[in-house]
Amino acid sequence: MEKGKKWLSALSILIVVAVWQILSFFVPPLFLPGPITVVVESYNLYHNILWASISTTIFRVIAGFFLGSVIGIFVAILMSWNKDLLAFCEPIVEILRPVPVLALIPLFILWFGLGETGKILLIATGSFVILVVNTREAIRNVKPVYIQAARTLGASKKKQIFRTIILRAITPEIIGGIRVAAAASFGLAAAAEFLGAQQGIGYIIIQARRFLYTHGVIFGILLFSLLSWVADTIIRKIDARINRWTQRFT
Amino acid sequence: MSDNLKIKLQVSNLDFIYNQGVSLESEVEALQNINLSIYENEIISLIGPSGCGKTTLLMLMAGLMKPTRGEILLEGNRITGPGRDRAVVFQEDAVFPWLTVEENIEYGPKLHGVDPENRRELVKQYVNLVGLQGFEKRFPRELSGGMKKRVDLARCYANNPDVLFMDEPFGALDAMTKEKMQIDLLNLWIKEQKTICFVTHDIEEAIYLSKKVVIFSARPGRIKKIVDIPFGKERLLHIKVSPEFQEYRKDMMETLQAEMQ
Repeated sequence: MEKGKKWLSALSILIVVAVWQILSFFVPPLFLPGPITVVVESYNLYHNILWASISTTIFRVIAGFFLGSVIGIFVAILMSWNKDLLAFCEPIVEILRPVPVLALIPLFILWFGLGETGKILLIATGSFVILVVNTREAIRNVKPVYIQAARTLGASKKKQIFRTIILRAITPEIIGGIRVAAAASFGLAAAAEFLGAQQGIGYIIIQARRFLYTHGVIFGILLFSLLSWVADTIIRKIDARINRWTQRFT
Repeated sequence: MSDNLKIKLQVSNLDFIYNQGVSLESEVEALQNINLSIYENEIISLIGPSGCGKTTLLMLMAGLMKPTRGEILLEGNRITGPGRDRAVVFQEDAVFPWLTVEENIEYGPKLHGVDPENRRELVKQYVNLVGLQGFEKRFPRELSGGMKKRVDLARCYANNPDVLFMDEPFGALDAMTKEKMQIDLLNLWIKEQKTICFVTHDIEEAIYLSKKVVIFSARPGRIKKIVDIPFGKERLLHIKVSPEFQEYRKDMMETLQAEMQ
């Protein structure tokens, strides 16, 4: 962002918060507690389980996200390796892709119970589907002239071409997939925690809802947003370092 | 005239048909009965109307495509695919954007197992030869079109190929940069001789740079005429306006225009 524009962004957030606070004076707290109420009351209520909740959710997200992303990228590379592997993997991927991952929750609870495994696998499935499609498309979009150039410079084995050309060329697109998968992972974590958890930010939200503590619900939502934003910022920083060579047109 | 010189690349009885076997309607005969000898350290250019198959022939000689009939021999050995002995400077921008200038130049040697010390020497040598001192650690996105072409040239040269193919390498550059690149290529060749075969649309470029110009007919591409250019190795810029040069240019234009009817 340009230097002078930061104050504009800060201003818009300030306005949103101010409008929120003002509205809350006219609406019952059951429907819209004000921002100050949300932070203060919720902190008082949950501060002793706050750290455990956040770390539990983060652990699930990271485990599921990494598991799913790595396998997704790996399967995409397999599919791009040769026609036999493509023919073998494609139907499985194509069947999995259109399934709304949320719809798998009851099945996963049946298979894996309410413990960590089911939640992590759910998140992994979501990340897998995103990254396998994203990576495969990225590999297909590598300019053929790069591969031809590599061949005329002595890259004769497929492994060399993959290592020196394809895997290097696709990193900007992969980061896009990673950002989407990270955001989706938080969403899936929330859903999984709503439907059966003893700990986590989603658990806080469900508990708050049971007691009609709307401020707790909003507090949980804000926590998710904050974590998601932090994760995205970290990814963008890594992107800036790895992909210094990219020419972005806007 | 060239009997005492070695033949580097020999094309014999070559045909190429696009979409062969796909369907009779989609088959396109691109090249017909091509026989061509390219001598060592000779700069030879291929020129002809659009669609005459000159780029196809280049790709076949580089091993990136296989002929429908005939064979291509490099120093007597049949070529079966692409390799580091035949480098190509493509028309498209093929410099790897994720590597710096020096990493691009050392790509071939590194793949081949050359140790870092020697690679550094190679990079230095060719950065100097193409005039990119100071830009070693830059990424291609920071370079102009002409500079990227120089990186491509240096990258090919550093790999020590037997033949260097170039497909309309300066086509996308503006007139001034193009002229500079032509002079620089000639100077590069004078300092380190190589067998060079390039495709161009620019008659002047062909006459200026090459020892021989191969003129193709319209599709299906056949070799119509091979013109020997007698000008010496040291070709100064003002030779382009000399009457002899213009004679050659006029002749070639007439030959080509006859093909375009």
